[in-house]
Amino acid sequence: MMLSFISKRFGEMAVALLLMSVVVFLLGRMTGDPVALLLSDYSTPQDQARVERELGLDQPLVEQYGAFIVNVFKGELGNSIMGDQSPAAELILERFPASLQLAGVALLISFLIGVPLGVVAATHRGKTLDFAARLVALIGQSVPIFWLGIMLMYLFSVRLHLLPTSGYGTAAHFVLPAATMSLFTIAAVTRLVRASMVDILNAEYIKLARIKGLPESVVIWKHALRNSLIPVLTFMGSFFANMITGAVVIETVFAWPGIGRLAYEAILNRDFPVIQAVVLFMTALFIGANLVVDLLYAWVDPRIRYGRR
Amino acid sequence: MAKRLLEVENLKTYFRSQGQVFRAIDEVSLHVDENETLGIVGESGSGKSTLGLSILRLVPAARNPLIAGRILFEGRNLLTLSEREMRSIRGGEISMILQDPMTSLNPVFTLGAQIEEAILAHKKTGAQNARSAAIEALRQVRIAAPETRVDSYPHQISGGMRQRVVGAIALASRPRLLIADEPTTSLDVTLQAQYLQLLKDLRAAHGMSLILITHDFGVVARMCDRVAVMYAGSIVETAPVREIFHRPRHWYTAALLASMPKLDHPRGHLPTIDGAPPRLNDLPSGCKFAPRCAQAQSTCFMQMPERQIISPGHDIRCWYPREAT
Amino acid sequence: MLSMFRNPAIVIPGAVSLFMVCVALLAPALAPFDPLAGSLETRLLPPAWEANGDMAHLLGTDRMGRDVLSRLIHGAKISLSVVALALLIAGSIGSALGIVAGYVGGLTEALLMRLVDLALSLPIILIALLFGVVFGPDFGNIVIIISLVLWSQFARMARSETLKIKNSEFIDLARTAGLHPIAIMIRHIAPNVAGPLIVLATLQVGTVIIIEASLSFLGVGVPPPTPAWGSMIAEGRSYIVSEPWLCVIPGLAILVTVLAMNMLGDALAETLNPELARRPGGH
Repeated sequence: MMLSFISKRFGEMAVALLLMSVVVFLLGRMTGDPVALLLSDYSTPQDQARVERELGLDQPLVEQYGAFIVNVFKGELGNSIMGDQSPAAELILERFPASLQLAGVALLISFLIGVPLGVVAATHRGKTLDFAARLVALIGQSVPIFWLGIMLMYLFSVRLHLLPTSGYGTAAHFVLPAATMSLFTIAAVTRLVRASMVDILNAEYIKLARIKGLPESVVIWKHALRNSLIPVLTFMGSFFANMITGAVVIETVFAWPGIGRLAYEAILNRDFPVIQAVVLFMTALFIGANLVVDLLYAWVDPRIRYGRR
Repeated sequence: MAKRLLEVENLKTYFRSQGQVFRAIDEVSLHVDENETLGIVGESGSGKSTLGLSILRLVPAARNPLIAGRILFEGRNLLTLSEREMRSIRGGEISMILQDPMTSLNPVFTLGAQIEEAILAHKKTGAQNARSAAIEALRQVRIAAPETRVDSYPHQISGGMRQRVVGAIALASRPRLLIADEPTTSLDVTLQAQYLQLLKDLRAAHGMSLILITHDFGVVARMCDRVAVMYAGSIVETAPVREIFHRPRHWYTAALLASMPKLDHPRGHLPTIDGAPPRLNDLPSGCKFAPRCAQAQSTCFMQMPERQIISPGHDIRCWYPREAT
Repeated sequence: MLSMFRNPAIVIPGAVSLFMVCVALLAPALAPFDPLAGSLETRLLPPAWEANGDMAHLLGTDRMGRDVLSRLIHGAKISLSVVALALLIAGSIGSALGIVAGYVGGLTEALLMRLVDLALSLPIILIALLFGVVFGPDFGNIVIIISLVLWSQFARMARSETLKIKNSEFIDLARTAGLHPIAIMIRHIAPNVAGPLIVLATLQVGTVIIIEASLSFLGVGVPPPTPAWGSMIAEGRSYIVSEPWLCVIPGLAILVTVLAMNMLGDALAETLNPELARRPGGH
C-alpha cells in the first residue's frame, strides 16, 4: 500500500511538472521574436527562413515543445543573453548551494522555534505566554518579508553595526537573511501547532496517557505533539512555496548569491532563458520537496502508511 | 470484615466558568473494599465520569476545577499527594478505562508501544521484557495472535478489539483498583457481554477492586456487589445490589428502576421521570430531586437531607424514604 | 450577529480596515499633492517631525521630490483595487467551479478537483515572475496572476460546502419542482455557501496585499511611476542609510493594513466559521 501511495504521488508530480514546462515553453514563445534578435537589419527573407529552420521554428508547435523537453532533460536550458552568455544550467548549479544552505537553515530555525512556541501557547492557553506567541504569529504573517529584511538590515547593520549588511561567507552573514526568511514560517508553524494541540489535548488518548501515569512532559511532547505535527506537514507544501518566494526577495535584499537573486537579476535584464531555467528548476525542487513531505507524512501517520481501513 | 481499599469522604468537585460555579460532585462519600465491585449508576450528566476522574485527579484543568474533601487510598489521602506521587498511583495503583474505544488509543503509536509505555512507567525493565509483557497483556484480554497484533496500529483493529486493548493498557501495571467508565456503551450487545465477562474474570484473577460506572442496571445486576446511585452530583442511595433491586428506599432509585426496560413486558410503555435534572450552576437548596419527586414535602425543598444509614450497608439521603416492602 | 459589533477583536481591526478603504476611495481628494509631480527643490525632505522637515510634506518627499504622504494615499488605492479585483475574479470563478464540481459530481468533479490539486501544487509565484517578464509590469496582469494564485482555494471550499447541503430537503424540493440545475446552483446553493466563502475572502485580503507588494518590489508588479507600496519600498531601499523613512513608511502602511485585515479575518472566522480559523494562512 505504501508503494501504491508513493507511485500515485509520483504520477501526480510528473503531471504538475509537465504542465509547468508547457507554461514555460509557451511563455517563452511569446517573449518576442528570437529570429529578429539574431538577424541584422540587412538580412533577406531567405536569411530569415534559414535561421528559423536552424532554430526549429518552422516546425509545428508540438514538435518544438518536444525538442524543448528533450533539451531540458539533457540539461540544455539555453544561454544567458547577458555578459559572456554562460549556459543557464551552469549559472543555476553555481548559485544553488548558497540558496540551499539559506533555506535549510531557515527551515530548521522555523521548526526549532515554531513548534515549541505553538506547544507552549497551547498548554498555556489564555495566559500571557499564549497571547505573546499568538501576537508573534500574527505579526509574522502580516509583515512583508522583503521590508522586514530591509528593516533588520537597517537596525542591526547600519545603526548597530552588529552584523554584515549583505553578502555571503561567514556564519554572521546567515543571521539576518535566515531570521527574515524563517519569520513567516515560524508564525505559520506556531499557529498550526497551537490550533491542533489545543484540540488534541482534549482527546481521549491524552486522558489515557495520563491515566497510565506518564509524566506530563511525555504526554505533551510525545503523545500530543506527534499528532499535532500531522496538520503542520499538510501545509509544508505552502511553506516551500513561501520559501521560494522568500528566496527571490530575501536574496535580493541581502545580495545573497543564490538562485533567487539570479532570478531577480534575470528579471531586471529581461534575460528570459535564465528566468525560464530558474523557474523550471525551482518547480522541480518544489515538487520534489513536496514528495519528501508526503513520505514524512506517511512516516508520522500510520493511517496513511497502511491506507485507511 | 473485608479490607477498605478506597474511601472517599465528602468529595466536592466544582467547576468555575464565567463567574459561575458548577457543582459537578457535591459532598460524595463512598468506599470500595478489596476484591469488590462497586457500581455507580446515574443518568448522563449526573457526575459519574467526573467522579472517576476526580479520584485520579485528572479533571481537565481547562474546566477550572476546585476539588475538596478526602480520597483515602490504602489510608493515604490522594488529594494531598504531590504530582509525582500521584503519577505512581495512576496506572500503578488505580487505573481507568474510558468510554470511547475509537478515540482512546493514540493513532500514531503501535498497540505494543502504548502498552509497553504503561508498563515502563511503573517498572524499570528492559525493552525486551516490556515487549513480552505487552504481548502477555494482549493475550490476557483475549486478543488472538498477540505476537503479531502487538505491532498493529489502532486503526487496523476493530472497535471491540480496541476496547480490549484499552483494558490491557489499564491493567498493564497490575493496579489494585480499576475504574471502568461506561466501558461497553459503544459496543454492540454481543461484544458488551463478552467484555463484561472479561472484566469480571480479570478482576477475580488479579484480585483487584472495580468501580463500574454505568447507566445500565442490567450491567449492575450482572457485575456488582454494591451500588451507589448518583443524581445531580450527589449519591442519593448506596446499598448491596440485592437491596437496591428488591428494596430501593430512595424515590429516585425506585423511579430509575421503574423506567428500566424489563424482559417480562418488553413492549409496554415505560414510565419516565417527569421533569429534567437541575442545572449544576443553579441547584435547589433542598433535596436536589425534590422538584421531580412525587412524594416531596415542604422540608424536602428547604433542606438537603443528610446521609443516614437505614440498615447495615444501606444508606440514603432522603427525608421521607420509601417503605421497605 | 449584533454582538459582533461589541467584540473589540472585530471592532478595532474593522475600524482600521474601514479607514484604509476610505483612504483608498477618497485618494484624489485626500492627497495634498499630485503623487506623480516632483520638484527638484523639495527633493528628499525628511518627515515633518525631523529637524529639517517641512510641514507641507508631513511624511517627507522622495528622491524626485514627490510627496510621500500623497503617494502613500494613492498607493492604498492601487493596493486595495488589486485586492478587490483579484478577490472578485478568483472568488467568483473559483466558487462557481467549486459549486459545479460539488453539485454535478462524477467526472466533472474529478477533473475539476484534479485541476485544483494541480494549481495548489505549483509554485504560482514563479509563473507570476515569468508572466511579469514576458508581458511587462501591468496592473491588469497582476490582477490576473493573483487570481490564478487564489481561485483554487475558493473552488475547494465551495465544493466542500456544496457537498454539505447538496442532499438537504430544500434542494430536493427544488429538483422535484423541475428547476434547471443551473437555476438550483445560482438560486439555492450559492446563497447558502456564500458565508464561509466571504470569510475565506477576508482571510485572503492580507495575502493579496503582500503578494502585490512583493511583485511590485521585484519590478514585475504595478509599473512605475504609479505609486504602489511595494515599489515605494524598492525605490527607498537605495536610500536606507541616509533617508530611511522612504522605506520605513510604506512598509508600516502595509504592516498596519495587513495586520488589521488578518485580525479581522481571524476574528470573523472564529465567530462565523470555526473550521476556517485553523488555516495557517499563506503568501
